[in-house]
Amino acid sequence: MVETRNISFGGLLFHVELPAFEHLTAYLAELKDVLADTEGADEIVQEVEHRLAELFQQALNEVNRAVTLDDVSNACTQLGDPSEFKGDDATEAGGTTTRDEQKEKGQGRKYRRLFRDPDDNVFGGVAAGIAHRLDIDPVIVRTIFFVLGVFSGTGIPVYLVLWAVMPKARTAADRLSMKGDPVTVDSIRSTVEEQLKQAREKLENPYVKSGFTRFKLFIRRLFTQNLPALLRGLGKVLMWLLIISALVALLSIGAVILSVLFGGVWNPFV
Amino acid sequence: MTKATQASTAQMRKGVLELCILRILRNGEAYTSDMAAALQAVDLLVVEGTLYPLLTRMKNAGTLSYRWAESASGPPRKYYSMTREGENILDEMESAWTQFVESVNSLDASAQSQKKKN
Repeated sequence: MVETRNISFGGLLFHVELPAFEHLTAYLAELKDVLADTEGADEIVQEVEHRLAELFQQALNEVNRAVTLDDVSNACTQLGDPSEFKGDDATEAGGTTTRDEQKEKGQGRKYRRLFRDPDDNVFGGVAAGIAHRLDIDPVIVRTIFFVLGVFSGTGIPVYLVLWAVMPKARTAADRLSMKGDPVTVDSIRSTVEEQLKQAREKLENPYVKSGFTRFKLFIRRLFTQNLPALLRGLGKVLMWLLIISALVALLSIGAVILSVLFGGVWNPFV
Repeated sequence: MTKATQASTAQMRKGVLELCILRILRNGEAYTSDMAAALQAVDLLVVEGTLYPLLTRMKNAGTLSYRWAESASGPPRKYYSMTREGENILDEMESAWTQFVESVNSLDASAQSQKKKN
C-alpha cells in the first residue's frame, strides 16, 4: 500500500504515488533551477510537463492506474538529466562552473536539520534525530537518555518534551537535510528507493525491526560498543545536556521567585 | 572513446543540432519527441531534453513556428514547422556546412599529399 497524491499535470489528472510525486517535484525544481537564466524558461518547463504527462499516460493502463516511481524515473531518464537542458549557446561553459561551485559550497556547509528519525527509532526517533544533528552514533544519545532515565528520572520528561517539539522527518527531502546531504534529484531518488526497500522488509518480516527489538539490540550494543567513540560522543552530548539543564534551572528559579512573590503554597522543591 | 574525444564529439553534435532540426523540418512539421527519436536513431542526440531549450529559442527567433494538435494519448502536442525565415537560414546553414566539411577534409587531403611528396 502506498499513499498517492492527485495532481493536475499538463492539463491532465493523475494519481501519483508519494515517492514518485517527490521525485517528480525534485526533477521539476532542479529543471527550473537550471533554466533560471534561459529565455523562455516557463515555456520550456510547460512543454516538458506536457511531455512527461504524455509519457505517464502511456505508462498507465487498466491495471496500473497510479503513476509509480518507476514511471517517473523512466520518463525523466528519457528526457534527460536537468543539466542536459542547460543553455545550448556559448554561455554554457560559464554556466557549468557556477553550478558546480554552488554544489561544492552546499556540500561544504553540510548543515543538518533537527528531525525525529522514523527509520531508526526505539520510541519516537528522538535519539536518532539528535545523533544525526551532532553526527554521532545514536547509541551514545540513547545511553544518556537511558542513564538519565534510570538514575535521575530527568531523561524521560526531557525525551517526551523533545518528542513533542521535534518535527518528524516525513519526506525524502526532510531525511536528506536531517543527514546533511544535498537535496537533488539523484539523492531524493536513492532515499526514496531506500525507504521503499525498508517498507518492503518491514512488510515481509514485521517483527524484526519493532521498537522493542531495537531496544534489546541497543542494550546489547551498549555493552559491546567500543569505548573511544562513546567517550567522544559523550563530550558533545554533555555540552547539550548542560545547555538544557541550565535552561531547566533558569525556569525553576523563575518558578521559585514567582511562588515567593505571590506567597503561594506550591514549591517545586518540597 | 576517451573522455577528451567524448567532450569534443558532444560539442560537434551541439553545433550541428540546429541544422539537423531544420533538415528534419524541411519534410514538414514534426513533434519534439519524433525529432528526438530521429536524431537519436543516427546518434546525433543523447536525450530529448536538449531539444526543448533549443526549439524554444529558435521559435522565439522566428526560425520556427508551431501549432497545437490534439492527441489521442494525452495532453495536446506542439508541432513545430519551419517559417519562411527558417528556410533562408537553412539555405545559409547548408552552404556553411558544406564549406565546413570541405575545409576540414581539405586539411586531411593536403596532409596526405605532403606525406606523398616526402
